[in-house]
This record gives sequence, C-alpha cells and structure tokens, in this order.
Amino acid sequence: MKQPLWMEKLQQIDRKVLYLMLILATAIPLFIKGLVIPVKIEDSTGALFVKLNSLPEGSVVVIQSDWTVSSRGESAGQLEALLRILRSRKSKFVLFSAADPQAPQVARNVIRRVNKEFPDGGFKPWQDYVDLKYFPQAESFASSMASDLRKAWDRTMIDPADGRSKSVFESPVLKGVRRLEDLQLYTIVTASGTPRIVIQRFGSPSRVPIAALVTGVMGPEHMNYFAAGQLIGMSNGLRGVVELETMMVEGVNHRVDGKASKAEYKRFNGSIPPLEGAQYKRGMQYFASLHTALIMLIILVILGNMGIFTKWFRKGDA
Amino acid sequence: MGEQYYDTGWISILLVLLFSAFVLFNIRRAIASKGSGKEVYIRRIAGLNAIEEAIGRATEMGRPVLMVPGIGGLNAISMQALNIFGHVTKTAARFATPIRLCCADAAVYTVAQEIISETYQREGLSERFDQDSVRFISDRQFAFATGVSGTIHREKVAAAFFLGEFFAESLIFAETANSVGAIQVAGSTQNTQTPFFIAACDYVLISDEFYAASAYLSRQPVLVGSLVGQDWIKMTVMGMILFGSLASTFEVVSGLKTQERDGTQLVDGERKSISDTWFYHQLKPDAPKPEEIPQREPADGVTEEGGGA
Amino acid sequence: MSHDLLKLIVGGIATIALYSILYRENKFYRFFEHVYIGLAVGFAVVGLWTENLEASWWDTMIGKAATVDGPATPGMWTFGLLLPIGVMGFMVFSKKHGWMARIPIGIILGMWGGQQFNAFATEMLPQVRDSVRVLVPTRTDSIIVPNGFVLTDQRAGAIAQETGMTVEGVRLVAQNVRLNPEREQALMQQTGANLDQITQTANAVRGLIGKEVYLTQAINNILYTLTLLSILCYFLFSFEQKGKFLNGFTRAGRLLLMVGFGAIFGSTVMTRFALLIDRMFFIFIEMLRDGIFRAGGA
Repeated sequence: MKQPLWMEKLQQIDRKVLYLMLILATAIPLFIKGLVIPVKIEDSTGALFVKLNSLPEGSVVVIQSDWTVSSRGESAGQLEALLRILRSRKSKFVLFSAADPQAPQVARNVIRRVNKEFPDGGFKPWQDYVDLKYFPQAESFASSMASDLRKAWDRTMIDPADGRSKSVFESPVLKGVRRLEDLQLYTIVTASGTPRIVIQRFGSPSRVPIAALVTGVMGPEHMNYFAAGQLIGMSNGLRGVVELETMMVEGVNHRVDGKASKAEYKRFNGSIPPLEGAQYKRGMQYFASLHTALIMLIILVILGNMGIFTKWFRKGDA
Repeated sequence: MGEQYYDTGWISILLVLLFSAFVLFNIRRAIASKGSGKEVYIRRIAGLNAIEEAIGRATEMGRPVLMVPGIGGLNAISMQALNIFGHVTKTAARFATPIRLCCADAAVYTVAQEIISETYQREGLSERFDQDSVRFISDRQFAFATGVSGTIHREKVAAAFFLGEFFAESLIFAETANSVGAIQVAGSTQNTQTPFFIAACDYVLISDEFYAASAYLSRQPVLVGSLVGQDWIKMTVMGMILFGSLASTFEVVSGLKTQERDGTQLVDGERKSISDTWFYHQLKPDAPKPEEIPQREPADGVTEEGGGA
Repeated sequence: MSHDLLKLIVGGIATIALYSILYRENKFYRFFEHVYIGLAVGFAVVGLWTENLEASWWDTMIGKAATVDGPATPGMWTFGLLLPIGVMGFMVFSKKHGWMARIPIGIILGMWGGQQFNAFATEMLPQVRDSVRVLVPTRTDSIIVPNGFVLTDQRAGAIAQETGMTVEGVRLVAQNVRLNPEREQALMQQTGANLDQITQTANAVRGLIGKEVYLTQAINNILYTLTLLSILCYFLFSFEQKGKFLNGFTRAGRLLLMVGFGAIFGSTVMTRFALLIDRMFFIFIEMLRDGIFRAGGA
C-alpha cells in the first residue's frame, strides 16, 4: 500500500477544522472598518434603483415584506436599503405581509432601526406609512387587491394626532388611493416565491410596476420575470444589497472631475447623483466576509478535487 | 369588481382555452383507451429504473425504505409523490421490505396512511402493514428536518425517496441519508432545490420528470392525459417561439416594417396597458379610448425590456 | 443590565447553542432546539391572531360601540359562519370526522384552480413573448452594447421624415427624452418645431431604446433560443426520443439544464453564507463588541 500523498490527506481533514476556518473567515472581516469592494451594477438592480429614484415626492409605494428572521442576512439589508431610498425620495409606503404572520413585526423592527438614522425621526406611522399587518392566502389576497383595493385593504389604524382608530384610507398615505393604478410602485421583499403570485394576478402588463428584492436562493428563478419585463427591477441577495448601497453612495453614471463613475448602469441614459448623506451599511460590511468565505470555499473545492484526481491516477498506476 | 380580467385580451383567452382543450382532449383519449390494449403512449424515463434499483437494494440489505413527500400541503405535487410511493410500497410489500413514510402536513399524513394501507390490502398482504410506518413528524420545517434525520440515523435506511416540494431542508435530508450509505432517489418541482439533490443523491427526477414518473407508474388516465396534453402545449410553445424568432429575424433582415399591437404602450419606460382590447371594452363599455388617456411624463433612458434582449 | 443587553445575550447564547451541533449532538443544543420550535409555534399562533384574525375577522364580526374615539360600526354577525368552516380544517386529526377537513381544503383548491386560468396567461404569455428574439444583429457599428443610446444617421433621418423635424432637431430631442414643460419650451425655441412634433419624436426615440441588437446580443439570443428549445424538447414524454439529431438535441438540453442548476447552486451558497455572516455579525459585533464590551466599558 502506497503512502497517501499530502493532497489525499486533505480529504481527511476533520469537519470541525473546516467549520472553525469558516467561522474565522466570516467573522474577522466584520471587524475591519471601511472596507469597500467595487461591484458591477447588474441591469436588474440598476433598473430598480433608477425606478426608485424617479418616484415623485409624496408617491405611494407598497412594501410587501414576506421574510422573517431566518433570512435576515439578506432580506434585512434589502429592506433597509429600500427604506433609505424611499426616505430620500420623500415617498410614503404601505406595509404588509402575505406570507408569514411573523413578518410584519420583523419589518417593523427594521423600520425602527432605520428611523434612528434620520434626525427628524424618519418615517412616522399614519403620516408616512400605514401598517396593514398580515393577510393570509397570498393568492386570494393578490386577486382581491387587483379587483378592489379598498376592500382588500380595509383595515384601521390609530391616528396619533387624536388617538382615534380610523380607516387607513383616511390617512395621508392612502387618501387618494382607490385602485392599483394609483400606486407608483409595488415592491416585494421576500425569501420565497411571492412575486410570482402577484405577477400572476395583477394583469399583463401589470397595472402597477412590480419590483422584487429577493434572497440569493430565489434570485435565479426571478430573473425570468425581469427579463420578460414583468418585474421593473430586482435586487438579488446580498450582492443586490451591495449594489444598491454602491449606487446610493456613488450615484449612477455620476462622474466627478471627468473620472469614470464607480457605479455604471449601461441601460440608463441619464445620471443620478449620490444620495445625500448615504454611507455603506450592512450590505458592504457583510460583502467582505462573503468574499473571504467564498475564496476559502473555492480553494477547498479545488484542493479536494485534486485529492480525488491524484487518488484516481495512483489507482491507475498500481 | 373583477378588474384583473379587463385587460386579458383575446389572444390570451384563446391560448388558455386551446391549452385547456389539449389537456381535456388527451384525458378523454386516455380514458377511452384505458384497457383497450392501445393505451396512450408515454415513454419510460430513466429515473424509473433508479426507483426499482433502490427498492431492490433495500430488499437485499433487509433495511427499511424511507419516503418523504416534501413539506408542502395537500396539493397536486404531494398527491403525485404519494402515487409514486404507492408503487414503491407495492414492490416493498411483496418482498416484505419495511417502509417508513414521514409527513410534515396533517392532511398529507391522512391521505398517505390511506394510500399505503390500501396498497397492502390490494396486494393481499394486510398483515405486513405496520400502522407506525406512516408517521407525522412536525409541521415546522426544521423540526421536521431534525425528525427525519433522526429516523434515517436510527433505522439506517437502505433507500431514501425524497419526492415532492422541498425547500431549505433538502440538503439536510440528502446529506444525512448519504452519511448512512443509503441509495437516494429525489425529485422536486422546486428548481431552487434540485441542484442540491443533484449534488447529493444517486438519481434525480428533474421537474416534469416527476409528473411523468407518477403518470407512468399509476397509469391514471387523468395523469397520463394531462402529461400528453402538456406535451402538446410545450410543442405549441416551441413552435410559437421558433416561428416568432425566425419571423422577427426575417423582419430585421428584409427591412420589413410591421406594426406592433398588443394593447400596451411605453409610458415612463414601462409597458402600460392602453386598455384598448376588444375584451376590455366588452367588460367596461364606458372606459375611455386610448387616445383619451392623458400621457404621464416619461422618464429618460430606461429600457422597457429590463435585462432582456 | 439593560433590557436590550439581556435580549442580545439570550439571543447570542441561543445562536451558539444551535451551532454547537457542528461539534456534536449535545443537550445544550437539544434544549435550545426545543425552545426554538416552541417559540416558533407560539409566535405563529399569536401572530395569526394579532396580525390578521383580530382585525379581519373578530373586529369586523363584533363591530364597535360609539365612543369618544369614533362612531359605532355595526357587527357583521355573518362572519361567525366562517368559524365552523375553519374549524373543519382541524378535523383532519380525527379518524372518524377526517372527511370534514376536505371541505375547507376543497374550497381553497377550487379558488386556486379557478384563478389559474388567468394566472397562467398573465405569467407565462409575456415570457413566451420575450422568448421571441431577433437572431441576427441589427447594428454593426459596435460588437458590444455601447454605453447609453446612440442614434444612427439613418434612424434619425427616418424619424425626422416621419415627424417633419430636422435631423439636428431629432438629435437634440434624443439627448434626453425626459420631457418637462421647461425642456419643451427650450426645444421648441431651439428647433422651431411644435410641441406635437417634439413629443412624437421623443416617443419614437424611446421606442428605439433597447430595440437594437448588437453582435454579442445576437449570439446571446441564438444561445438562448437553442437552450430553451432543447430543454423543452428534453421534457417531452409522449414519444420515444429516437434518432441522432433528437437524441443529441435533448442531451444538449440536459447538459444546459445542469449549467443552469450550477448557477442556482452558486447563488444559493451565497445566501447560506450570508445567513452565517449575519449570525457572526450578531454574535461578534452586536452582542460582544457593541453590547457586552461597550456596556462594560461605559
């Protein structure tokens, strides 16, 4: 019996060692401040950002938040980025979930966290957003929104001005809204396949532009909808969050002193300046860790495969 | 009310009716030909051999066969999975191979129990049916994953079938079954989970193959007819795409100018309905004509096609 | 110890406990696993009531008496009839009355089935439409898609002829097709055209954006069409796939399918890592650095 080569020994590394390496690879970059990794803007994310930035002041956007803590790593960053852009556009929004009863509370926590960033206290309930909580049966709910929005959203909320419980349609957010066409954008932050349900039921072409901010797992599946124009824009996983943050900080096709922009979006003819006071946040902080982890994974996969091949060849020799 | 139907347009309605007709006609054909000796043909897919092989292996080793119909509720997918499991159970019953069927949904559990006990009865082997072989584990995703993994470890299953709707727990099952050396056949209609099964299992039924396996094994006219009907739909779509691509290429090469009329127009860089379809006006006679609808201020530069082209 | 810090520490301990399974199965893990499952069920039940049933069903059913907060709303007692239908769902646990559970399931399936006709058309037909692609390039002045939108002389000439504007005028409008009153005024002065002509030109230019096919795009489109057709062909079951061409074509379909699955796999690995990184962020940054150490240092 031949002595195993060092490459073959690699295959016998204890799992626990690999886990430890993975923990170190993901944790150490988190302590390094100010790391910025350049990223190419995908068409889907670029289109989403441009759409968000063309929203007129006071426009009403829907945020269907269909994720819970199990996908916090990606979805929290998506929702945070979305809220920051909406704030910069002075947009109002409607929040609800059609996937999980726990989702609205998780979204509220994110809103509270993002609100702390703004000196004026950020989004105010009733004035800037209405919270419609949770609707079960996503299919039927999407159908009823398409058929009668006022009936579908028939909920009450407390007006902080006088402490009375009123219909959400009396709020400054939904005052002029009667049907889907009155909304400027319908966004879905999700860890599952809910955009499909909405696309299926909002008509073709959709009566309100739909955008999806999905996890990396669901990303490839939703590319089709973006390619076919059924989604106006899409942000895919952690990378999507980083792209949104990059566009917020660098602007889109925004040149300073004739230098090339750090965020180029080819399909967009114009340019968008950086958002006021924008900074790299959670997305970019995680992105460095993602890189170290993926590099480690790639190296290990290559080494592991080399080990298998050397084993094969040696068997062939014997 | 019913606003989602206004803009459907006649082409969509025609196609949906045509596609439904394909399926219904073939179901009719399958019912009529059942038992006549000239049954509607569907080809045998390679995955079926893998199923037989897995049961054979479990029988040789005398260890149980594990079946999991996914974590979805009682729907077409879990029903088709149970159909395949009925076939697996039939073979297992003949050779007295023990089975384990783990469910994550109460309704699926009830139906599974009926199907499995019926299978044993039909084979005249009711005494071999163990009530405990069909189990309800938990309806919480990861609790279910833990429970099934425990079963795999404790009972050292020789073959595992993961067919149905799987999500993030797919790799946990496949890895665990792999670690006890079980031969695994998987099939999920969830495209996102299929890659994990491909990486970890011995054979994978990819998307529609899953339905084909179920139809082939059960020979139920509704399933066979639907499968053949779907084939016709696929061929129609292939024809449409091929013809469309060639026609639009010809349009470009020859310099022909055709006008596009699809009831939509570009507003603000998006396709918006201009609601001038015949169907729309039937449902809503008082609706304004397209030229009466004021245009919104368009944005610059963003293409309406998104990432396409 | 503040309430927030306590929350962080409990969360941190639970996270570490659940990851301890990577070392080996242990009681610490088991305990928190059960806590987690219990909490998940508890949250789901409470959430279902507070986030949905209370507002949509209970409040509507019982109505509200007039108070200082607002006028009375009448109770919709018919909503009470929904309760037995819902309760039937739970009958699934009974051997004898299990059949009752099929009634609400039937209602849901029926509703779903009915919606599928429209849903299929709205979801799939735009995708079929998008799959119709031009297989040859329409532009030869660049191999790849250039930055921004370039209007050729030929196209500008055609638009100018159509709208009655000068070619320079068309180019001026094309520089930025986003029109607003000020820009319209400026363009009218610069080009001498009227508002109709300018709007018409802007629309014509906008219609061209994204419609041009460059060489690389044409190659993409050919690959796309071949992939789509071969994979669809692979999933045909009603006849034996015989013959060299058909066999090769479907085999190619299967291979291309694997490439697609590889991409999905990669994207999913990214998600899994992101979830791990988030947990690491929680333990090392939120709990340790910003929580315990900051509180200790302060």
